[in-house]
Amino acid sequence: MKVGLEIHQQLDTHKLFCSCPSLIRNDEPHGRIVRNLRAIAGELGDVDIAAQYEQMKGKDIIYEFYEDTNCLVELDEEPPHPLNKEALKIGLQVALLLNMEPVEEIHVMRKTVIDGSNPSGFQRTALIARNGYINTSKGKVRISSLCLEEDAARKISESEGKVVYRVDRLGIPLLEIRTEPDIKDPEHAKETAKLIGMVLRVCKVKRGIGTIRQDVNVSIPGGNRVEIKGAQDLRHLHLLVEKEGRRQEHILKISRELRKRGIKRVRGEVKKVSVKLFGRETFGVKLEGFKGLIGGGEFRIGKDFSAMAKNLGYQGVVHCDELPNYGLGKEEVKRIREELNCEDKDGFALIAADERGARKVLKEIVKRANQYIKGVPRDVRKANPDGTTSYLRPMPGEARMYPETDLEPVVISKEFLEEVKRNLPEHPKKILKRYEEWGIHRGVGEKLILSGKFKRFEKLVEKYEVRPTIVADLLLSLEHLLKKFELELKDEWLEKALKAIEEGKITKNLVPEFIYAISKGKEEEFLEELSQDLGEVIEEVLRENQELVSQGRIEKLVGLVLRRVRANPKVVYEIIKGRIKRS
Amino acid sequence: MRVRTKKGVFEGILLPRSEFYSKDFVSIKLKDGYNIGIRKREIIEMKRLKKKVELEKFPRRRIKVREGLPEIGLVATGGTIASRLDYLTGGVKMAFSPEEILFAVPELQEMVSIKEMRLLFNLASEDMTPREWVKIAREVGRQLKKVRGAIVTHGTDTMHFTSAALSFMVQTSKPVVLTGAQRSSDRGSSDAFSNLLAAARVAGYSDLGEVVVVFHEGLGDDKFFALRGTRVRKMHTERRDAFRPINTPPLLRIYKDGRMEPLSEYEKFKDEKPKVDARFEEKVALVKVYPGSDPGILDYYAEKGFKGIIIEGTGFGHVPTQTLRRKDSWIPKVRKLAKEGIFVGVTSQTIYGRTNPLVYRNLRLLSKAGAVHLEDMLSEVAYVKLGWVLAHKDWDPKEMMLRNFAGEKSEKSEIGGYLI
Repeated sequence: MKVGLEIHQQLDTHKLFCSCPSLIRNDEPHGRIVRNLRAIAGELGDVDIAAQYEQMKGKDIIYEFYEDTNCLVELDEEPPHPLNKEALKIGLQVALLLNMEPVEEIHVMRKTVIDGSNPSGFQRTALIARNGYINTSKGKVRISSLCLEEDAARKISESEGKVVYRVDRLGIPLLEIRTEPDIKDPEHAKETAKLIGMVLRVCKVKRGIGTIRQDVNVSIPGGNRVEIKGAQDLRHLHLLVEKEGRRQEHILKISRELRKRGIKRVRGEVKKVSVKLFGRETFGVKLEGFKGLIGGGEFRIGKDFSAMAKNLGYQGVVHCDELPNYGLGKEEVKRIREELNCEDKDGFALIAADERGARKVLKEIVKRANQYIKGVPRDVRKANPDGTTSYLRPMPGEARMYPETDLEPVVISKEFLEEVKRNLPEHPKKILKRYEEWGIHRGVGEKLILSGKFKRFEKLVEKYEVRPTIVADLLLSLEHLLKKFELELKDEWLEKALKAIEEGKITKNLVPEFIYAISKGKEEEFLEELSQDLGEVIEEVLRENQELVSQGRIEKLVGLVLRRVRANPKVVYEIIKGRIKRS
Repeated sequence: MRVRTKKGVFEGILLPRSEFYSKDFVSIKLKDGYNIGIRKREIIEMKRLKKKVELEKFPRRRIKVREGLPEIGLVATGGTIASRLDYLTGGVKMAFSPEEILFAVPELQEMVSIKEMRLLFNLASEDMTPREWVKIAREVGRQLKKVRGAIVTHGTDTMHFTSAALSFMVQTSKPVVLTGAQRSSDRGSSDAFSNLLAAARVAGYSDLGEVVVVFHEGLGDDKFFALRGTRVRKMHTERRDAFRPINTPPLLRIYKDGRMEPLSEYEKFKDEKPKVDARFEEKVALVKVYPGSDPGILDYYAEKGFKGIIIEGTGFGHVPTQTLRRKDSWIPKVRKLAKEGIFVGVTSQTIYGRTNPLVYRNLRLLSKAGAVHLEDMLSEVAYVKLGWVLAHKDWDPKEMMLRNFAGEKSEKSEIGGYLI
């Protein structure tokens, strides 16, 4: 199995080609404009773009904007301002941390995009470094390229003849990191993504949902390179890679079976059939040798047929393996088979649509069927939450790119590079090593880095005389623990808790309750209650009930304590638990 | 080309470099489509792998003449609408012929029949001179004898000068529509295509019979304005809706679906042959006054034999008059020029509004010195008109400059003519 990753990470700066803030908003936009895109002469010969254009033809593209946080550049009403130097610096930091060679003179390119996600009709992108690598537990994974590009506008909705985008996301600086297909298996993919993710997190990048997007390329022996868009997280990535491997195996099996059946080509003669699907005129096409191979299982190719139809704006593709159904009985299926001249092993696909549309869709399906005879088609697919994928489009050919003539090339001078090197963040590897010396597990350290909490962690460790493991534990778990109190963690609360631990007033386990008390303004009372004679009483009870202690019957002991003194049972529980553990 | 450097090997296409870029680098297009620059100092060896790569050729579309569609003409003169990018090198090619434009906007041929088509020259509009206006006017006049309307594609910067020139030089009751683009036509989002379609709609279907500029009404591709050729100005460096009507409402609104909505009075279409009066006296100038401006500039023009000057004054049409230092006043020079028979007209830098020779004493002094306040005429229009008027030797300049020829001035100051 060969796996490559493509990681997109938003940077935490203003936009790449204007000074607007990189701010995603959900309040009511201040205005909307309508635009139409068209393919231009030089591009009409380009099949990918022609296909995209076909889909966008006649579509109104609505751009929503905010007057205070967007400007004319985003609306394609003004040429780009010079490339954001801070974003470039961050990009070069990442390049150096990934052992890459920075490009000496950067040229911003226009990559043609005609789905409307860029008001200009192209995305600006620049190659800033090449030829890097990271060391993983299974050897080197080479990193082929690092590009600095502008993020696209955010799709808000799509309906017939109309697509709505919001330009809040447009122009946010984005790093695109592409690895060579050196990744060996799903676990390795996860590890590689994690290692690259940590390098990104030590630099100034955005965090949160949608700020990092991972695409993955998978091919198995005998299969083909398939690109999967939109892996949500690392665990998902693992599942995706695994399932894509299985999907390709499934298709190879179909392919072998077809050849065994002696099928060399699907001829693809479209005919009108006498039965009606969904009460509409129905057309069909014979798929030689496909009977029993289209349906069944989570990787059924019938789903791809439907997705292809949907891309062309049509629904209602039905194939032989799901019949009788949809109001068609055995008799009707037999009639269809006869009308399409199907022999025993032949399959078919039907669509209820006008003739022009039906021909368009069935032609695509036939093209697809012919690809299956040869093997795994080169697709771009979309990740589903369950780890399966859906067909999106064929793998694009070479991207149509031409220079952004409104900008000058940016020379990466020695001085600039030196400055970047001087301010280079500590490599995650070194950070982890340091943490290990503090007694922190590697996994915990990785979590601190990936969550972006490591900087805060180090500050707190420096400030309070509390074991680093406790600080790390609190930082990583407290937010979750506070959920039961419906509280959101405030920095000052955490600091108060650490101070209380430092002064021996509370233990780590009492922190959630302590913070709850702070939030209610009862911090002093909480500590008083703890310090009063509670300690003495507990000591007494423990002394008197050695047996219960040795049996670890904490609840019972709590009950005994509460009989003698008024206190928070939870607090008592935690203290006793702490005592018993220690002894 | 394979380039071996101290840092590694690059393979790609060697590109020509812009004359404005640093000479220390070579540009190369890598296999994945990205261009980068490589420092010449770092290069150890360059090896040619293949022969030259052919630059892209743009397809042309043969002009089909369709029966039953309105017949129009097209005059191409250059500008952004006609510029074309070479995708490989990023160089801008100017020879974007009308046929190539048609290839990009095939709908145009469904809407109108382009009977006459001519590429006069390929000029950026800042490079245009009154000589070109005369040529455009003659070509438009020639075409209008055969068709019901004409489109002129033009660079945007000085389009409003040309539209004024055509307004005076081509006396027509058929539509003459100037249009262009603010975004180059190499990108899918260019306004060239939609502007052209709206222009064709006006040229082929409207009931309008004058020279107009057709451009985006707002930032969207859904609405367009037809603006009077003598009452329009480029008011923004970069926006698609840069062309605004001045001192008067727009004439027409054109919707994307082709509907046209009249917004004010305009000359109606008549199927009559145009009269072309294309001439221009080049010895005219447009001068701007400002605090500290040297009136000596007027001596320069007088010595050079200029026959008319438009002074773009401040406010109501002022020049520095009763200055503390006498030599800063423009009045003596204006008086001298007027005496020599050089026409001095006055417009205002406020762009909007009407000049006035009476409200202030300074205005009266200027007026008395022999300058003529040109009512609510735009400075650029006044300059173009003066060149055209002075080219008629038997005309009285003052009388003709104050006569309305093409809606360039009006008695009524429209309430709704401001900041549209």
